[in-house]
Amino acid sequence: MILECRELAVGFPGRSLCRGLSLEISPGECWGILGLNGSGKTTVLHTLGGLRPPQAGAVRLGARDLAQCAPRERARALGVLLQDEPQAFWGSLQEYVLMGRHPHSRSLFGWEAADLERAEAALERMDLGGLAERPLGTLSGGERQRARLAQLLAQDPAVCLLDEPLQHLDLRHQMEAMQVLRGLAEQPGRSVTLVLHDTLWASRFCDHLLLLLGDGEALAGATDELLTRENLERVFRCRLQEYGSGRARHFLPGDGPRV
Amino acid sequence: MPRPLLIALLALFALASMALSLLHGSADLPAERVLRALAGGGEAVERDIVLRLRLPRAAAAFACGALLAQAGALLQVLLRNPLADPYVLGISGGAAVGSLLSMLLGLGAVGTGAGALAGALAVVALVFALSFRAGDWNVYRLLLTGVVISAGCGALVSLLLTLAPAAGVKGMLFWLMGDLAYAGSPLAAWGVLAALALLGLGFASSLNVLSLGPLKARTLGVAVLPLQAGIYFAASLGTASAVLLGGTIGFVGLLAPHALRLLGITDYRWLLPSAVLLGGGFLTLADTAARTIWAPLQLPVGVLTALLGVPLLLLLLPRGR
Repeated sequence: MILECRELAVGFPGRSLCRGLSLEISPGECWGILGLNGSGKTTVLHTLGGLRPPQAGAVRLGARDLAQCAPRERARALGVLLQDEPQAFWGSLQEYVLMGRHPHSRSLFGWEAADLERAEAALERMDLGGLAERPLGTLSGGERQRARLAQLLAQDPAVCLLDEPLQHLDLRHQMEAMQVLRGLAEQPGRSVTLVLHDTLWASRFCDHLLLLLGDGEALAGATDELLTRENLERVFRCRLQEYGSGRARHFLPGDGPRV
Repeated sequence: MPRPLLIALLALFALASMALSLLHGSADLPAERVLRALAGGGEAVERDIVLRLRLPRAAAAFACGALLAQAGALLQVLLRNPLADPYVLGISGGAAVGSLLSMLLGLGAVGTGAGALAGALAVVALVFALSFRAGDWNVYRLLLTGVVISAGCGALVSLLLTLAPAAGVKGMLFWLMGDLAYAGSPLAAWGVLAALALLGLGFASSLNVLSLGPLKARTLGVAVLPLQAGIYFAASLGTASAVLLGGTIGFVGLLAPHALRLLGITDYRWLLPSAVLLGGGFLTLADTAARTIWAPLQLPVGVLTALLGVPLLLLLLPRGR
């Protein structure tokens, strides 16, 4: 399913984060969104996910205007991993992950066997298999982050939008999460869009990038063309050093002054 | 404990509390005579005691407790605040002001009931109008608005009590503390209870998702704003019905949902029906105690719910996870 926006403007009253943004996230693609803190990554992601109305322009999901989709129907096709969830949840990890099945659930009481299977599979894929009965509140920060990823996997939408999916994860689980997400994008009809901070993951797993420059301008296109030191210095407003080559390129700040 | 077993135990508890309430009272009736009166036989006096005094009283107590427990559970998820109880948004304050005003004006029992209903509805409408914004309903604004209105009503109640003639104050106080001795017919409250219980079951899975926060609930396909407004009005209706029956009976609405959570029931599909059974049974039991332990003196049941509820919750707290 294609998620596209035309002439999108995103921001708050008196502050424009992004203007005239047009892009098309097609099945099979993995997009990375990079930008400074406060440059509007989350706001753009929420607008693409239908969680807030755009200031101008429109978002289309498949053949439909996203704003016209019924909430449940939208949630079956499009899932958003939020950056944080302040809410304490009283139940177990398994119950939490099962909530991802809410938009698919047809029964008022309990879950169907298929829902339970999907939740279990999602827990396994996020390396949480042995913890299903634990109360969510007793898990560590990284385990909880994987629980949220597992919930999104259980929700099983064609279009996944993820806000900092790798936060709190250790190196191994960062790698495993990225492999799962990349694998998701390669399934037929699906796409994955990630807000990231580490250019290594963008270079290694993303075929497209959206760079938010913070002044309302944005660059969107293929990673091979956009992932250059010059562009990233405009994004992060500091001098950068390039390391590695090909799909393992990454950039780290040098000692130079901010630009 | 498996959840179906817990529900069965709670249903048993509710039935037992009803039975106790029917068996005990100032007239000493043996169980077989109570049963005969229930079946429509026995002496006329016994039938009157059981069918016209004890049964309506027990039914009123159960409906009142069940409504308060359900309203508490609903408001806790709406306000995302575990301390929310049915009175936090000022409904009881509004009802108290309305009823006291009617008492002061000498409008009689019917007028007092009407005044309480008008006061409660006025507060429900006022809090909603002041806090609701289309497109975004900030629950903290709702909570603060309710708390402020509630405080205002509290001040008005104090003012009315000061103005009231000394002879009338005691009757008013009983009403404020919560007392089922003056409860009218519980039929309307049972109707509301049945409607809310069914509605609650229909929306329970959405309530589970909403407990993760409104934004998260939207990502999972819940139409958050209509659901929040629905919870608000459902909880208000439940609270108002309970307050009209028994005044401001504290603690049931806070205690019942938390006691169940501490027992491991966190899923609203189980929590709402369990809260109905626990809240109803608990208040029936407390009311039976209130009218028998110091007989012929009748204690206000609101005092008993707190006296019984505080140690119960403190006992359960260390078991919480």
